[in-house]
Amino acid sequence: MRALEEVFTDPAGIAANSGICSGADLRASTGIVVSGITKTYKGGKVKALNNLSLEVKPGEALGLVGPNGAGKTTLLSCLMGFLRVDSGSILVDGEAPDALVTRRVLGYLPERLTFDRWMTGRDYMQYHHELAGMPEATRKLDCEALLEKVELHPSTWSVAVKKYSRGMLQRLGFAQALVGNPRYLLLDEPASGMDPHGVMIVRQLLKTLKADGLTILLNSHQLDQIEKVCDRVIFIKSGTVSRVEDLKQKVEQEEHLLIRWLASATNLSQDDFGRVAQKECLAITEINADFARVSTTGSAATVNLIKALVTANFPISEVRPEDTRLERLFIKSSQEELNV
Amino acid sequence: MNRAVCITTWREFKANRVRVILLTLLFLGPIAMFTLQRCSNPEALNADMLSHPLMASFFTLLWASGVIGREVQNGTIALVLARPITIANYVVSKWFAVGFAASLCAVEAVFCEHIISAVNCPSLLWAPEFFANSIERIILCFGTAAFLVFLSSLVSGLKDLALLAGFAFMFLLYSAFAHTVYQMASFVHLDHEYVLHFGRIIESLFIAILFPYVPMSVFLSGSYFAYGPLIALFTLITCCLSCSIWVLTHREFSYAAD
Repeated sequence: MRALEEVFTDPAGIAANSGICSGADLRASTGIVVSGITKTYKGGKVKALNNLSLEVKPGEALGLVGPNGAGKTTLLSCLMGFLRVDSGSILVDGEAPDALVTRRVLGYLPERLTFDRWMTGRDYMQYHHELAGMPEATRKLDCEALLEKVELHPSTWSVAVKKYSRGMLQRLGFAQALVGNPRYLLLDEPASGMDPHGVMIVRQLLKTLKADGLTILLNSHQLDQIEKVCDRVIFIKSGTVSRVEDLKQKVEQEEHLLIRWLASATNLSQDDFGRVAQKECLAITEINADFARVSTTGSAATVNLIKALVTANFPISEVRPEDTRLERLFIKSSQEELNV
Repeated sequence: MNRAVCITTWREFKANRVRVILLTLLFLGPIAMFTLQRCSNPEALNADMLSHPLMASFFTLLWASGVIGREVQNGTIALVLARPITIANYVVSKWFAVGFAASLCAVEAVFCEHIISAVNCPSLLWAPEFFANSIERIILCFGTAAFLVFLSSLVSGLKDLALLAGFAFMFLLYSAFAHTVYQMASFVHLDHEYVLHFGRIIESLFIAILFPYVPMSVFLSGSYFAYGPLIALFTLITCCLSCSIWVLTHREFSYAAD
């Protein structure tokens, strides 16, 4: 009965045509609250999510990291209301994920993008603009602005989607996720299949959207992208949250540096390098004739080491960090799993 | 009703060349036959010569096959349902889009036949049979569309055609063995009248689902016999759309499950 009522009332259409702010717009944003959700497949044989809880605050960018099959896509699908959880609850601004008011504030980019391949890029955007209940008067301008935002060239807007490359489809999908001015953005591998330029555009776009106050939930295997965009990162393993890291916190953590020098241009040996490192209280993890890997505890220690090496007349040719903070955390998390 | 879903359904059909060719053949074939018939026998000029309203079922079949199943198969339904649109709204929009488009084709076809008749015999221009035939076709289109939308929501891709073929086969099987069943019933001393009535109900159900035909001549004559098919039609549409909504509501649309 309720379903039939919704057919005839069509709240999306009424709100859009009358220009009245929808209920979702008027409500205060309270973020996403996931409480102890469990999701199984194949009649309970496969447990994709196991009593998972998390909270995304309004305006926050949260990264999801984990190995394949950890349950990240299942989590996003549950948040979108495509999958029903076996137990637990999900609230988006205090509402169920499949409620119409929730759908109006969610933007979604799936990992496996599917399109009506006969449509042109412009048609596709206009279709979603109409589905989102946005006013017809601004349709053309809104869609073109979004296509420009993802830097999809205007010459491709009138080309059928079936002729698009993988990167172009991804950009179109990203633009589609932004239709309807969503308050929350759920992105599943947004830069998948994109060229380096596209990856940079996505990164910049995410930063801009975050600055605009959008709440972002980003599932990506590109750890550097998460590190540059997200405030927090959640490590998911076997359907549960295994670790939460605050990326805004500037902690003095251990870093690995790769230092190379021109061995042919100096009489200084590995032992001399060892002495300098020892003097600066740094641990050498690996040393060779022309390079060494050292562990430092922050940028100050790194600067001191380089100064000391230069003073000792070491012909340094390269100093670079071995991996990012998130990469180290991921490696550490994986090693912990192996040890268990 | 969602305008975007309706228009996209029509445009999707237009983009499929095979379907457009089949639709053209379905449209032109009966007209060509009708014209030949008229030309070869100019004396047989009466409005009853219009093709049977059941032709509308074929138009509906062409428009409705895989109308939801295709979107389920290629995954585009997930992005549609991620928007503020209810499943009920989506299903009703699909049904309306299919019913309306098929009706338009079916009425256009009979209109062409009617014009050919009128050219041969101008007195037939205002014959009421044309209007009755057109309304019967429209009713048939919306009734059949409801059943096909329901079948399409059960499966993915074009498998709904297989379901329809299976259902039609069951009907044929039933028709072929109904007499044998009646005879067997009399052997086991069951009330013959009771078995006969039960058999007729089953047969009527099959007919009401496969051919939701409401004879307009009976209806316009004021006979209360016309209300039976009309009630059956509304029941069919309501049940099919409700079941379709229920099926899609309880379905999960995520590739994560793969």
